[in-house]
Amino acid sequence: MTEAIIADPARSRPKAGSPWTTAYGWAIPLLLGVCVLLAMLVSLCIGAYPMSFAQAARIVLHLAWPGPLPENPPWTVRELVVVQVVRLPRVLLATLAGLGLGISGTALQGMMRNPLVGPDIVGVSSGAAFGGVLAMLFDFSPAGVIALAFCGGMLAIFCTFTLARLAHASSSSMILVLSGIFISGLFVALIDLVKRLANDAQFPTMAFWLLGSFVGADPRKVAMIAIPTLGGGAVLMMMRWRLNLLSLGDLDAQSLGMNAGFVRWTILALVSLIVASQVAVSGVIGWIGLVVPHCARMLVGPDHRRLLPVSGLLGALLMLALDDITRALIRAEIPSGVMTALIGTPVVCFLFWKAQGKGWGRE
Amino acid sequence: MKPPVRRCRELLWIAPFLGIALIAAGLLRPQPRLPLPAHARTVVDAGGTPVPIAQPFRGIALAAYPNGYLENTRSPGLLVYAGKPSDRKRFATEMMSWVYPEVVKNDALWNAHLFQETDSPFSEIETLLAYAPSVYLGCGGPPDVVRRVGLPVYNCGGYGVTFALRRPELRAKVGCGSPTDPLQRLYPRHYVKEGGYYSESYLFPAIRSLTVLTGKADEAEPRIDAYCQSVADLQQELQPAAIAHRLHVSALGEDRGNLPRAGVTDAEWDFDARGDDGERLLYLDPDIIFITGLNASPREFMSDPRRQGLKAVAERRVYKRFGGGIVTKPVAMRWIAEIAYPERLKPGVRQLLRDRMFEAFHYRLSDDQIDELLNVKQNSSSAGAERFTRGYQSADAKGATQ
Repeated sequence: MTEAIIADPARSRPKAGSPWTTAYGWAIPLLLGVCVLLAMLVSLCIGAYPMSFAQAARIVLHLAWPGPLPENPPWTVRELVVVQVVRLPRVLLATLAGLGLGISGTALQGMMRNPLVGPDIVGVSSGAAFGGVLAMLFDFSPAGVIALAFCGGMLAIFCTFTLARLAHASSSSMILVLSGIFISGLFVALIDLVKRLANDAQFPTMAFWLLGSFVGADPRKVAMIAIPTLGGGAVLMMMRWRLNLLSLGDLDAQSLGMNAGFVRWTILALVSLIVASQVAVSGVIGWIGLVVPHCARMLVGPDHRRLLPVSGLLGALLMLALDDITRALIRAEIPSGVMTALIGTPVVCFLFWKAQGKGWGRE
Repeated sequence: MKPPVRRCRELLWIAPFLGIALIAAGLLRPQPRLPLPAHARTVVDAGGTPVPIAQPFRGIALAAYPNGYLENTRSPGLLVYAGKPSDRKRFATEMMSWVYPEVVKNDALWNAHLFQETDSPFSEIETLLAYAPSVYLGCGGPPDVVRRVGLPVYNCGGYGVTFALRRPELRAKVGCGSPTDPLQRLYPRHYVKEGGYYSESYLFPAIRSLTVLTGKADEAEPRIDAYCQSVADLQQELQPAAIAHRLHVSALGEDRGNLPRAGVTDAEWDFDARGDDGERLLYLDPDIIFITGLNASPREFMSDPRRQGLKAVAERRVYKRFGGGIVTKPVAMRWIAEIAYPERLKPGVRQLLRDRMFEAFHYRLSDDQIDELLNVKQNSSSAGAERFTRGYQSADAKGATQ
């Protein structure tokens, strides 16, 4: 069973996609994109202050449209404050975090040819979290937090690969996962050490931040995650053909004229940047990067040309939905990291159950 | 060469990226700010910031726990929001809920539908916008973001917020008798570090600013005078300067500001407060231990095998003490002093507590309520605690009459 699951997702693609996917698969990213934008507008209507969908859409449209806001707008200042200051930063933060994690998870799984890989499994999240708490310990600026989180993420992934290489099995899926688990364990221990060294004022901040939450979203945090996620994500999108080649294996990719090592490290750097920015602004949020690629693969198959955008958009949708559930239905600030784990675990169990019948890894 | 239609399909991912980027760019616009109310009176809060209060007055929404507000202002009628439902449960067990039972009973003040169970300042903004009180009151520093959008935020100070150090006009007024207070010379490091060391460093700015907010500014100084008079009476009776051997006291996880006034030495004054640390306690080996900040009772604490080497445990001098605000703090000081130096003071805590509550709120505490405030039951196994029981009080009074 394990072998079946760990098998190469690229090889597991259906021999020929379903007729529906073949004919209309190109439209799925577009549809999902529209769904994400609609979900963002719906999320803007959720909260204590009453806000209609039309009013939220009108305000967002005017905010996004270049040029000054109207002199006599059809909304009140209170409504503008609710949308621009309170809800929109949080909605954007959730959307971008989900988008980044979905893309990162898919890129890592494709590159490592291993469906068990996610940013939290290979140690990027733990490394970034360690960088973040270290920056908090030394009272760094928010930019310093993101920079150290990025360095931590890169260091963790470098360690993971180096460890796998020491075992003379850098291309073995199982060894990579094991290395990731070891390195993650190391960084988790370092995080605990930093927490122990923190003073009474720093400790609660660190503890809450590590659980993962969008509380306290503001324009600065949105900028901190938007630039790396949208920029890095765009570059990954442009590399999605190369990801297809890389998922065939290094030898095949090199025989097709691709510099596999360079592409691999470029992807790793981009993933680290995206995950680090996400961890820096909203803490460690697990499961999305692991679960969403599987859901997307069930929807559009393993071709990264479609899989990558669909994963990103599905991640954004899922993250937004979870955040809405947290703040609207449960009416409590349960950390998003906790919510994703509570929802992600049953999803993975379901996928495991489904895999017995259809399988990701059937040869 | 791909056909143009296929190339366009391959680039469809750009659309949501672009959409999200454009919406995110909308946040770069200047933040909106609520206009000033048409009719307002401006008051300066404990942080020195002028706050416009809309007129006619629509009420106060508390971001802080209601106990302190009520003890300082005695104006429950001005509240439109008192706290979260979890705050209500806690408040219902405390002294101010006896004095103002209507605050606990009024569901509207603890409205879970309008005010979410969250500590997020952003959700607070939203709920405040929905409820529109005249002023949003926070003690300990409400988030700047609430103020930035133009909501009337009033900062009433709070423990650990050293406004007094930043505002010279308040610095001169910190503490009863400071800055010439002799205790300042004994604890210079804390005097600087905590803005005056004593509880007064946050109690006085809080009452001064809150009474201004509620339009009863003239009531602050008499209450402060009453506090200082109680402190002076205690000093007069205790004569702390004449105490040859000052007892060392550890107050685990709680306010240590009262200790010097009670004539005892804070054994942990050179340590950052980190709650219960068994080894540190063994190292310090204080004469008396207060464990209000811990969940354990004095009896449980003293029966813990890890504590058996402590002098305070051997002498059963472990207590759970009570605190409070400007009304009950002087009583708490006397309570500590009577515990530490029973031979220097007559038993007077129960009567003093009863008197101060009546003077302040015209509320008569029952014996049961006093027992509860003084933790008589919990301290029953501690040395000298019988001094605070009602029987002891009457026996003493009888003796005094004879």
